[in-house]
Amino acid sequence: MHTTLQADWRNATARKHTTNVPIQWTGLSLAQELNALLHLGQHSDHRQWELFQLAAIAAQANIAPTFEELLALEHVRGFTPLPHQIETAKRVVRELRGRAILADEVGLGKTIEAGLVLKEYLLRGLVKKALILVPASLVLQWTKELHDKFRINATPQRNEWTWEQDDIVVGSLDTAKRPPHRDIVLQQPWDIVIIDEAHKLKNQKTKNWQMANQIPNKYLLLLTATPVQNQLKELHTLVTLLKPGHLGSANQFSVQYVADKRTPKDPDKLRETIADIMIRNRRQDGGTRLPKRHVQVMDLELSAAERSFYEEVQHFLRDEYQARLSVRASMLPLLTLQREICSSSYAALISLEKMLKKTSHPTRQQRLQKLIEMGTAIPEYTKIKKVLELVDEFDDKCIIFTEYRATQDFIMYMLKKRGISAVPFRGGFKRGKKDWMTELFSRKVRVLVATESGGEGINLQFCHYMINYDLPWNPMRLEQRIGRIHRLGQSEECHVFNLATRDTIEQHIVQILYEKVRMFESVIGTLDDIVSDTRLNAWENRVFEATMTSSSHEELAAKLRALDPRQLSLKKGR
Amino acid sequence: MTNRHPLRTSEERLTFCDRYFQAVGADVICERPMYREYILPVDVDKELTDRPFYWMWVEKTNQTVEPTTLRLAFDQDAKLREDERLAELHQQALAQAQPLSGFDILYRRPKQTELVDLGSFRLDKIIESARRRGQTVCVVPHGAHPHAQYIPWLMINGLTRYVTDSVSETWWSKGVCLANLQIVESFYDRIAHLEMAGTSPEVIVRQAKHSLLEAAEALQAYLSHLVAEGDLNWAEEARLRLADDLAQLDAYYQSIEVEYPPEERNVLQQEHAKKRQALIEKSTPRVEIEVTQLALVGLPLRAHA
Repeated sequence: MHTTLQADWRNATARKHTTNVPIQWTGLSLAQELNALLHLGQHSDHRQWELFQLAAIAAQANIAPTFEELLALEHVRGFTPLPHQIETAKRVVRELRGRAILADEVGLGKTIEAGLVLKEYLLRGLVKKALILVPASLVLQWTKELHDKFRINATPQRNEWTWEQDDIVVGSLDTAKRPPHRDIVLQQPWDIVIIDEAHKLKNQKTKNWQMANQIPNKYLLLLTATPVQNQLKELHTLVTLLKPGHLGSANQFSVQYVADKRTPKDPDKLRETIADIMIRNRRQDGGTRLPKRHVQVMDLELSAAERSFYEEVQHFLRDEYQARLSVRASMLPLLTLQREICSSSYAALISLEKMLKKTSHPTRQQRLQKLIEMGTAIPEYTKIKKVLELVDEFDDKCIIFTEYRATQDFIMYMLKKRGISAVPFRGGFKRGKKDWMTELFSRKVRVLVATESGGEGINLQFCHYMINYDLPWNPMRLEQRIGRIHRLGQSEECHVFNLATRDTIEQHIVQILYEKVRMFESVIGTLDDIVSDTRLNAWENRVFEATMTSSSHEELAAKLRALDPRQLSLKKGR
Repeated sequence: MTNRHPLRTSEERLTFCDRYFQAVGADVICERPMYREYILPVDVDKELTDRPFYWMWVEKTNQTVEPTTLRLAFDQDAKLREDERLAELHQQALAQAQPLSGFDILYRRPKQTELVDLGSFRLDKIIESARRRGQTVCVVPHGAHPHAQYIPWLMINGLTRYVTDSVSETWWSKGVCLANLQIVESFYDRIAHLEMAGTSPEVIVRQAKHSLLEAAEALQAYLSHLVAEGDLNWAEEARLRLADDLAQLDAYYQSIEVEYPPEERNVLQQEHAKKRQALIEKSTPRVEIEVTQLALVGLPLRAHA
């Protein structure tokens, strides 16, 4: 019977050669081992047979029986991945073939998803060398998490040899792109590259992007909660790292998909195309039961002194704008001042003083001098008064976000004066100092005052209150701020207070903010109720009305300016 | 061949470890529910504890060192229970050691157990060690007649890996008869129930008409045939996908080349070539056949018939 079988297959092989898959022989070297087998002598005993059987069991225990099944799930330790995380990891392996943007909303566990995917490829023997690039402040945290949760033996990058010597390296992009690291990193045969906070790669002309584009990889994961921040083009830039040509060249992309900077031409089609390459889980999809978040806009009225100072600065800005326009001078200082005046008078004063030092024009000097006098004469500040009130009310830990160093200093000063313990936190801090500040905040101190850049990558789930002293001009950054406390691991409801002063330029910002949120939604899906104010709906209608009745940009701008926010706030139904 | 994945329950892992440590000659000094303490012989210690520099130092300086004791808990309950017990023992030891030396205060800690679960460092090491130690064997059924005549079989076990951007593996065991090169499927499962005794190869190959190498070659040809005749849809799909991906990549680089000044095109082409190569390496369908175990098995004439 066996002989017939044999004859059968010999003939068949000779006949059929249509599909040909190359076969590689690995494992034991047959000639050598067979020879050794013949010379085993009397060494074989029953123990040897026992070990042989154990080895057979062991070999079967470690196999991957199917292409798709997620083996990593049996190997995690100390936690159970959530359904959406498992589903995401499966899709990355099965459908996206190991190249994906993981764009979950902040706090849904992108790290876990990336860890699952990495572990899966390690278990399957498809990845040996892995590079994980994260912000410098998160290197140790990532290393620890990979080790604790996934038992992945990752090494934090310490010097230029780490890249080469270790198989799984966690380092920062900022280090990797600098000599002498750059060349070494580019020479390693990385099987998988994982880049956290990948929205830093949104511009194709930056060193970051070019570095990321050149690192060898077979599998690539880009992690970001905000794949689109300002322009649709950013999406194209990210996708080009993963699959060049998936959205065409930059030009083809803008012709095919972009109506204007922030509006896609055919949102459905674009969404479909990027679904092949991006996975985004949202909080509202369920699966994750985070406690509720309450977002509240604190509508503040400037005091008379603040109001006149604000108006005076506006006049100054408009005049300066015209003057600078005629001589084509840089507008940056004006932009900064414009944003600072929204943040705090204190921050604006510092910029005004700088301008004063630089100028030699006597009338301009006079005017600046007058402005500074006005600013310093303000007896008390509305926003900080509100903050102190709120902090007293909370009777709990609280984090205050601001965009500006000067405002941060000011808040710190005012808190200390009140006898409230507070620590600062900002992007410029070294890794150790950041950890130390976080530690202090968790153990002793009541308030953490953070600037935007310091906001990334710190986890503060033990805190339930947040005050946004000023609103960032980019809504995604607001989401990132909130995500610091409102994320997995948060056990209590979170309260977020956005401070906004009425009748200021902030109204214009809200409009742009809104447009950005819309763009994001139309491509990627709905955003949480960050800007949850019902006023926005009325505002939208007014803007829509204005757009419909205007025949030129100037007229539209005038109408927008003519819109009275006080009327809108009346419609809130109070 | 079992369809189920082995070692998925803590009981299985406990049995596996017991068998392993017995086979390698480690002493069991404590046996409690889902908990064991084993004392390791030096050769096993080297394989399981991953400290080459320590052993280098021990050997260079001719030390005799105390053997390592592994304290293995096979589930969480056992770990908690035994950790508590060890902490108590520690307290007792400290009480007896009064007055305490500085060393006691600073460095003496209760012994800790380790949890052996799937994916744990220790189990991985034990599995690795078992696989290395159990590669070859030469056996006949236990209690066979001393002058029995054997049909000589070469058993080859291994893995077939179907690889593209993911991988799917099957474990197999085949027997090749050295008398006539017949090939028998699932050979291991057919003989796994037999109690075996070690023997010398001559006893088995006495009846062989073919060399081991011939048998291995016959098996290689057979395995290649199985691959060619098997389901190759996955490979076809992978090839199409790869072709698509390559076309997309090529089209992209062609379309942007015009935007680059001629002197930069060289760099661009290199980048293109690299990405092409990475895609090909990642996705090209291929089959890897890994031989993991070899055995000479003599089956007495009558028993086999």
